[in-house]
Amino acid sequence: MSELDRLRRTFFDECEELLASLQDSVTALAAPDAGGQHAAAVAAAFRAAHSIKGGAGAFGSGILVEVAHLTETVLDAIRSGRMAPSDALVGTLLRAGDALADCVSADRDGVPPPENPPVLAELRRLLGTPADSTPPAAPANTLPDFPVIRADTAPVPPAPPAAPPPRVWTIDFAPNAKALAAGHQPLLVLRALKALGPLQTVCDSSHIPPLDALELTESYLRWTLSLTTDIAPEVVAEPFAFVAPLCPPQITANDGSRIGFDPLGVGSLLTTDSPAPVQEVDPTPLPEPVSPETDPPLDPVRPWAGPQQAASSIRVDVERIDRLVNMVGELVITQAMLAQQAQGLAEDRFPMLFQGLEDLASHTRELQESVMAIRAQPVKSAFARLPRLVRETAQALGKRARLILIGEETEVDKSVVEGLSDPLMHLIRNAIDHGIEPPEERRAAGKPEDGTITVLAEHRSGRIVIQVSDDGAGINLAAIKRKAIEQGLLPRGADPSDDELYELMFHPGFSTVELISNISGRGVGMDVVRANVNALGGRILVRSYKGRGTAFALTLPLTLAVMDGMLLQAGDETYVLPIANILESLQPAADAIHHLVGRGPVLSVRGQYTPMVDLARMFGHRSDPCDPTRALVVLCEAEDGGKVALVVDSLIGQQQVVIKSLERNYGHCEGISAATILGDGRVALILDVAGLRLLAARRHRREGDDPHG
Amino acid sequence: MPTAHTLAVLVVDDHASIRGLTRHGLSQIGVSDVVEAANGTEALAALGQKRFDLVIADWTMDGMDGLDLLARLRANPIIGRTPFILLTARNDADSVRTAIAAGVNNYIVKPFDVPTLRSKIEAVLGPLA
Repeated sequence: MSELDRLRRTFFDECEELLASLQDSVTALAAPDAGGQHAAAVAAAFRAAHSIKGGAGAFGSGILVEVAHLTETVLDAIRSGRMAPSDALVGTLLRAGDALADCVSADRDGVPPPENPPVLAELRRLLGTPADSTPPAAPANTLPDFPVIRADTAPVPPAPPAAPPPRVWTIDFAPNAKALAAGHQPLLVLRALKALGPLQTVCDSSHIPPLDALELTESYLRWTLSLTTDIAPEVVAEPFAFVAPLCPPQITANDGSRIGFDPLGVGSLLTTDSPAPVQEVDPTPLPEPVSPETDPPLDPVRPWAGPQQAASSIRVDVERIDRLVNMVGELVITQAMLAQQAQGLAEDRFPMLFQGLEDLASHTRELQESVMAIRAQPVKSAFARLPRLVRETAQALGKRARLILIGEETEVDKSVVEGLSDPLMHLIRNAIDHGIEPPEERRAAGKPEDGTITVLAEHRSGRIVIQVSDDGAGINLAAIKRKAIEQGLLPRGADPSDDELYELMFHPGFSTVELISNISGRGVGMDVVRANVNALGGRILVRSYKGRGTAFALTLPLTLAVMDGMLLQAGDETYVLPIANILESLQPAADAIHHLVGRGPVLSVRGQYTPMVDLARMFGHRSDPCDPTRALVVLCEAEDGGKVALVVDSLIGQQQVVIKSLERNYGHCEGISAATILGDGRVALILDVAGLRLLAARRHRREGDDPHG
Repeated sequence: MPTAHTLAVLVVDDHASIRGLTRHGLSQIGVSDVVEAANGTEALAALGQKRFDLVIADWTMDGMDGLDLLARLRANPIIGRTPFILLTARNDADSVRTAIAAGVNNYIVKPFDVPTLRSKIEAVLGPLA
C-alpha cells in the first residue's frame, strides 16, 4: 500500500470518529441547554465538520467537501448566534451527518458517492444560498479579494486585463524589531518586489549604531524603493501582506494612487497598528530550546492551562497489540510452568525463589490485565450507528421511537465490540418493526406515542451484559406457537413452556420461512443474531411482558484471549471446560441413568433428562465405557441453551487459560473450540459444549441401540 | 539560501492524515527532518526540545488552537521568530484577516498541492536549494 493510500485510510478512520463526535454533539443540542453545554456542543460539532472538510479536499469527493462545508457553515451560524438551534435545525444537522457518513463510506469503498443528497438543498435553504451559487466546494488555494493567496497559485503575476501605462511606485519600507521577531525577512520582501519589475533600491543605513551598542534583535535599516511596473496595485502589495500589520509600508505612485494595508481592502489606509486579536496569552515564556552549551532542560513544557486538557493518546496498529497479547499469553504459560516446577521443592530451603515466583505471578497477572486494557474499547463505537438506525427505521415504518443509550463507556475487548455491531442493529430493527406499536395504537393503549428503546451495557461478574429493551407490545407467544405448529416445528396439541416458545424464535426454520410482520412475534433473522453472539462466546436471553415490552440480554466474555476454565481428566488426557458453561457437577445414582434407543444414555436430574457424553470414549482415549456412578458427571449448558452431561474421571481444578486458536494453527475440530498450553507445557483442548452435544447426538443415531453409546 | 534537506519543520495538526499528507508534501520538496505534533501542547514540548526552521500548524484544534500556539511561540524570546505558516480549511476573508493580524508568516488553504506548499515555504524562508 502506498504512503498516500495509507494516509487515505487514516483519514477515513478519523472520519468515523469525527462523525460520531458530530452526531453526539448535534444530539446534545436537542436537549435543553441546562448548563450552557450547547456552546461546547456547537464548537465540537463545528470542529468535526471542519476537520472532515479539511481532509476531504485531499482524500474525499467533491460532494463530501460540499456537504461538510455547508454543515460547517450552518454550525458557524449557530455558533455566532445568527441561527438558533431548533428541533428542525437539529434534524437537518443529523441528516447532514448521515449524508456525510454515506459520502465517507462511499469514498472509502471507492464507489460513487450519492450525487445530490436531499439534505444539500435543506442546508442551502437554511443558509439562503441558491443551489447554483454555492461556492466551489473544493476551492483551489485562492481567496477572493485577497491578493497574497492568489500569488502563489500563479507565481508569475497575471497580466491585467487592459494594460494601463506603467506606474512608478515609491515604497517606503522600514521593517521594525517586531517584524523581525515574528520571523519576517525583509530580504525576501525585496526579492519578491524585484520579480515584479525594475526595482531601484536605496538603503538608509544611517541608524546603525556603533558596534558596541548594536542590538541583534533590533532593525536599523530602512529602504526607499522605486518600482516601475504596469501590474495591478494589489499585486504590488502582495509581498507586504503578512508583514504589513507590524510595519506598514508607505506606497504611493507617481499618478497619486496609494496602497494602504487593511489586508482585505487594498487602497484603504490602515490607520493604526491595531493589536492582534489573540486570545489571552500567558506571559510566561516557553522554556528555552536546548543549546549545546547548556544543560538540556529536559522537563517538559508546562501543560497548557486551556479550557480543556486534550486527552493524550496514540494510534497503534492492532497487529502490534495482538503480538503483545500473544507474548503475555506465553508469559502466563511460562509462569504457570515455573510455579508447577517449584511445587516439588521445599519452600524453607528456597525462600527467595518462592518469593520471586510469587512476585512473578502477581506481576504477570497485572501485566495481562494491563494489556487486555489496551485492547479494551468502550462499547460506544458499536452504539454509534444506532441513533441513525432508529431514526431511519422508525421513519420508514411510520412509527415513532426514541433511543436511550446507557453505559456507552463500558469497556470490552475490541473484537467483542466489533462483533456486537450486527446483532445490535438486528435487535433494534426488530424492536421497531415488531415491538413498538404504531402511534395511534400506543395512544389507545395509554402509552406515550414515542416508543422507547433502551440499550444498556454494563459489567456483571466478569462478563459484559448488553440489554436491548423496548416498551412495545411484547412477544405474542400464542402467535409464535400457532406459527410453529403451522410450520411443523411443533406437533399439533403440544404444550410448550414459555421458554420453549422463546427458544423457537431462534430456530433457523422459524425465522427463514417468511417475513412475519403482521404478528407481534419476532423472528426475522433471530437465528443469525444468536449465531453471531455465540461466535463471540456469548449467549442471548429473552424476556417479554405482554403489552409492556421485550428485553433481550446479551452476555459476552470481556475478552476472547483468556478464559476461566475447569481442568478435567478424561482417560489420560486433560481437557478444559469453560467455567461459564458449567451448571453443576455430581456423582449420579444408578437409577438416575436411563437408556433411550437411538439417543444413548440420559441422565435424569430433578425430572429433566439430559444426554450423557463419556468424554474419554467419545474422543477414543478408552474403548470400554466408564461407570458414571463411580466417575463424575459435569452438567453443562451450551451457549445456545442446550444441555449435556459430561462423564469425566475427575476435576483437576480451576485455572485461567490462554486461548490459542486451533483453526488458525490446525483446522476445525468438532467438539473442540480451541487449545491452550498448561503449566507443564502440555497442550490441552478446550471443549465446545454445543459441538459436543451435536457430535454425541449424531453418534448415537449412527450406533443405534448400543446401550453404552 | 536555505537547503531543503537541512530544514527542520514542525507539523502540528490534530489529524494524523493531515500531518502525514504535509510530511509527504515536504518530502517531495526535499524536507525530511519533520517532527509531528498532534496538538498545541505537544508542539510546545517539541519546540522546547529542538530548534525548528519552520512551524506549519493547523488552526482549528481542540484545546490550544493554532493561533494560541503562535502567540505562545512569539512570546518566547529565544525561538519566537521561528516562521509560522497556518494550514487551514478556513478561507473566508475574516479568517484570513484574523490570522494575519495574529502574525502568521503565511497561510495555506487546505487542500493544498506540492507546488503551493513549496511556494509558501519559499515566501517565508527564501528560495529552496
